[in-house]
Order: sequence, then C-alpha cells, then structure tokens
Amino acid sequence: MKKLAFIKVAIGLFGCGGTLLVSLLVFAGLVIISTRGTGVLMACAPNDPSGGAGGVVQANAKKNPEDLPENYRRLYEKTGRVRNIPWHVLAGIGKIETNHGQATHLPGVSNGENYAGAGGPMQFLQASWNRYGDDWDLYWEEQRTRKNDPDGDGRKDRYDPADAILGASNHLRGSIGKMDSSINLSSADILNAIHRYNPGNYTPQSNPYVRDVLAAAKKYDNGDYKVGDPNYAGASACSGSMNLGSGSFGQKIAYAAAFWAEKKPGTPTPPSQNSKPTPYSWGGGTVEGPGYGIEQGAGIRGFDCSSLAQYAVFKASGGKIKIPRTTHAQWASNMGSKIVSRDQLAPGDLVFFRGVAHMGIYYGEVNNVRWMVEAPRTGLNVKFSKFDSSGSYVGAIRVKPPAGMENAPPSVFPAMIPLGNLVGAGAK
Amino acid sequence: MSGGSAAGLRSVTCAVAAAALVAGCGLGERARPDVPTRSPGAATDLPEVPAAGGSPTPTATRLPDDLPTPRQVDQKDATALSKAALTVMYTVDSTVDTGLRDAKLRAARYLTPEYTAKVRAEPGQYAPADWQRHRAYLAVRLKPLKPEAGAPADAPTTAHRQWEMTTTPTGRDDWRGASSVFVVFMALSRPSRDAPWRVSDMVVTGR
Repeated sequence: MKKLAFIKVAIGLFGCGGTLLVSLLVFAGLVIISTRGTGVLMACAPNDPSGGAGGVVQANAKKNPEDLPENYRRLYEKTGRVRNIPWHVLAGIGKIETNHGQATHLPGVSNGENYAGAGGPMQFLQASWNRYGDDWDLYWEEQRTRKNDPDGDGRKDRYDPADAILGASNHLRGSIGKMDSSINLSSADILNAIHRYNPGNYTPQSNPYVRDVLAAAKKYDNGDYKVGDPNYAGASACSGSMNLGSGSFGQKIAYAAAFWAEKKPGTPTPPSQNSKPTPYSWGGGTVEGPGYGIEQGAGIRGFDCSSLAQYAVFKASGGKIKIPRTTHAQWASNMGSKIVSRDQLAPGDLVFFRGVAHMGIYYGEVNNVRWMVEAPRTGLNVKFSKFDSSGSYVGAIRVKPPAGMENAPPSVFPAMIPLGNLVGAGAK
Repeated sequence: MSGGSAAGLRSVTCAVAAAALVAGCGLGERARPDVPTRSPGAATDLPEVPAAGGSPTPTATRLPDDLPTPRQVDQKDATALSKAALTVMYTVDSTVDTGLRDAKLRAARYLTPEYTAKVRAEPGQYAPADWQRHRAYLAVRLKPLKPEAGAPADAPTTAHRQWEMTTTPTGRDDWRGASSVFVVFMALSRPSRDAPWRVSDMVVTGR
C-alpha cells in the first residue's frame, strides 16, 4: 500500500505528462519497491517484530478459502511478467492444485508429499521438480546479473511459493518447447501447456484439469475475486530466525521445543519464546510448526506430543532429520541411542512415558529443577513441566546429530537461562 | 481488497508504467533479453473453457474387488467403520477417478454431511498420468495405532482412531509405483448410542 500512496503522490504533484522529473520519481519509487521487496516480490514470511513468530513460518491462519492471498497474487503477476505467461493461468493452476497453498490440512502442500507423491503449492512430483524447479534468487541473479531478490535462499524448494510458481512457469513453457520467455504464447499454446501440466489420459479438449484451471483463470482475468491475507505456509523466512543458540544439537532441540512453551513465572526462559500459548491439538503440528488437528483440536493450531518432538528435531537439524510422526514409531526407530537412566539425560533427549503413549523433550536443570517441554493433552497448552514429577518414565532417545553437528558434546547441564520468575512472566 | 480494487491497482500501475516508458525510463526488466516489452501476457487471450464431459481413456473398469461393501462393514463398530471409510477414501482408481477427491466422495455414506461438504471443497488432487497409463489404482493397507495419551477421550457418541496407512500405486498391468506411508488421525461421531458411526474429521500426515 505504501508504494501505491507514493505513486499517487508523485502523479498528483507532477501529472502524467511524461516529463523527466516524473519518470525519475517513478523510477525511484520502483527502485524502492524493488529493494524493499514490498511491491515486487516478497515471497518470504516476515518475522513478527514482537518476536511472535520468531522467524518460524507458520501454517496459514483460517481465512476465507475463496480469497487469493495477496502474496500469491504478486508472485503470479511477477512470474507472469518475467515469463510472458498470463498471470491468470498461473493463478488458475495454483487455485486448482492447492487453493494457493491454503489447503494445508492436506499432506504435500506445505511439507511432505500427497498420495501421489506431489508436493508444494503447485504440486510438483519430484521428477518434474528436478526438471523444471527453479529458485527465484538464482534466476534473478542469472537474468539480471545483480542480486535483487529479497525472498530467495539460493536453493530451489518446491514448497516455497516463489520457487514453485516459477517452476510452474518453466513447466508450462518447457512442456511445449517454448521455454524462452521471448516467445509469445498463443491460446492454443496455453491450452496445451495446461494440459501437459496434468495430462492424465485425456486430450487437451477433454481434460477436466484444463477445464477447471481455465475456469479459475477466467475468474481471475475478469477480476472476479477478492484478495486475502498473505499465505506464508512453505515460504522461507525473510530474515532472522528462531534463536537456537550455538550449543550442541541436543540443546538446539530443547530450545526449538521450548520456543512454543507457554510463558509462566517460575519456568525457564529459553533464548526465544513465542508470545502466545500454543495449544495441544491431536493430529496437529508439522515440521513447519503448529497445525490444525481434529475433533477438539479442530480449528486449533497446535502440536500433539510427538509432532512437537518431530518439529524440534527437524528445526534443530536444519531440516536434515525428520523423525517418525508418532511416539510408538519414534521409540521403535533407530534414530539415536536409548537412555534408560534418568540421571544420564541431557537437553534435547526425547523422554517417553506411560508405555510410550506420551513423550516430552528434556530441557535441562535450572535452579535445581529438571524441566521438560511437552504438549500434554487436549485442553492444555505446550508448556514446561517438571520432569521428576512425571511418572511412568520409560526411557529416552538421544537423537543422532546430523553430519556437521556431531562434534558438539551434549550439554550435561549447566544452567541455561535464568528462571522466568526473576524477570516476570514471559519477559526476557 | 475486491476484484474491483485489483483492477484499480492495475490501472494505476499501467498508468505509471506508461508515464515512465514515454519518458524513456525503463522498469529495469526491459534490459533482460527474455522479457517481453508488452504487459504480462495481457495480449494473449485465454483459451475458451472446454465443455464438460471429458472421460479418461481407456474407459472405466471395475473398482478393485477387495473394497469393503456397506453390508460387510459393522457400522456400529468405530474401528471397523473408520477402517472401511479410510480404505474406500484412499483407493483412488485412475480408470474412474480424476483424483483423490473423487475417491473420498465415494465413501460419503461413511462420512457425516459436514465432513462430506469439507471434502467437496478440497482440491481435486488429480491422479498422475503414469497411473492412467498403467490403469492403476491405489492399494491401501492399514495398521491400527494406539492414539497417544493426550488424544481426546472416546465417549458414547465420539470416538478417535489412528492408523498407519501404506499406499501403493498398483497397475492393472502389474506395474507398481513407490509406496508411501502416512499417519491418519480420525474422529468419528454418531447422534446416539444406537446410531451407526460416521467419520466427522480426519488429518493425514506423512509418517
């Protein structure tokens, strides 16, 4: 909106006469837009300045599913412009594939793969992604010989909407042998390109996918849509990140889990901590962060006990380790070493209870109290709990660090951060 | 912002771009060899939407024989009902279904009306071309999992089941695709103790 105001002011002051002054002002405005990434391409998830998100890309909040998220619209437009494809076509594909990445309750939209092996907002099979996938950052650098992309992270990621939409444009053009953006596409080209995005056993004319995409594209072309809040599911963070410290792998696991623990007086204060409580949600939570569960968890974004552990390990390992989804599968896996004695625990150990029907993440000893982080049960929030008050302890797993993180020894636990009660609830 | 506002934004942007171009001031991207000089694809008309009625070729065959039939399912047993519903929902058959949503809706008799409406609103998740070439369907194997301790408790009219689901694309020409494993969280409900169970919600995650 700032860019629009700027442009309006410029036009209002100097008119549209095409003077050098006007064009310089316009150009300056657009440069500002480009470098700030607010008007041209901001596919990444902004960090909550209050520390709320802490650089964590969260699943989409509930919103009108008919809306076109504004960041997606900008990406479609941008990609359409540089690849010489009507943006409505890209938007039509995004609508039919995943409702612009908003169908996050389905596997394979913001992480993982769906029933057919497809992943990301534009639903690429891995083989197609290997062929057509692209990274905005590298694309921009190559094409413009200067680094100007505020969102990219230098790697192609089919879950990142910027990369995925660019990949979709490559697929559309590449599949009909017209990869170069300078080649104008005819209506027939577009029909064939959409068809080849999802051909099935159809002809372009009989393909229901083509019909659905074009119907959606027409709506966008006619302006028959509303722009909704941005959807950052799957997007990389713009800058900064959750502070996991510089300690061992285990300590990073502990900090990643503790980020979601409810702030309460008398409990530890990790380096970064979400400002709002995160509820238990059965079936909710992914490696990306809190997610919607079902039944009492329906409409509630949170974690259950095993998804919190899965998230923490994934986050601490920089996305290199994805442990199994359930407590039983985690306990049965060979992802690390088993530790039975309570006295040998170190931060980040996954601790199991009640015949491995429940688990938590050991945090460490602070002021003579041994803490863990857990998503306890329906109706409660993710929180710090006193480990020694939790009965029915079965054992623990120390997850094997990924390559490059093996050398840092586990912290046997020095005090980490002063207790929250010294500074008040939630403060740090 | 409405579509009308979007159109307004486009107009302002076009006006500004035109002013800049008249004065010889490019937008930066003009320097790139593969960037068109006209506006983004605006000169290309969208193709007409083909009429409905497309059907996959070859024509549909019978669904897999081992799909549970309503008579075989004890619908007053939450576990049996959830297993049957999940099996039907994920047995995507590329000879009759365009994608997963079609298969899910085939199980509508086992779903609450509210959850059926939710499924109808989901993306279609089209079956890959490979499957149709092999006239493949998705073979589903289910293993019951104990819900974790924090799960909502069962009650006379609500129940919760958890499954490990292994799916394998299976061609009628003996082709096999890569198997996938998922964890499925299911909620079931019924209006009274004597009524049959219905699936009221479901979350499927990667294992």
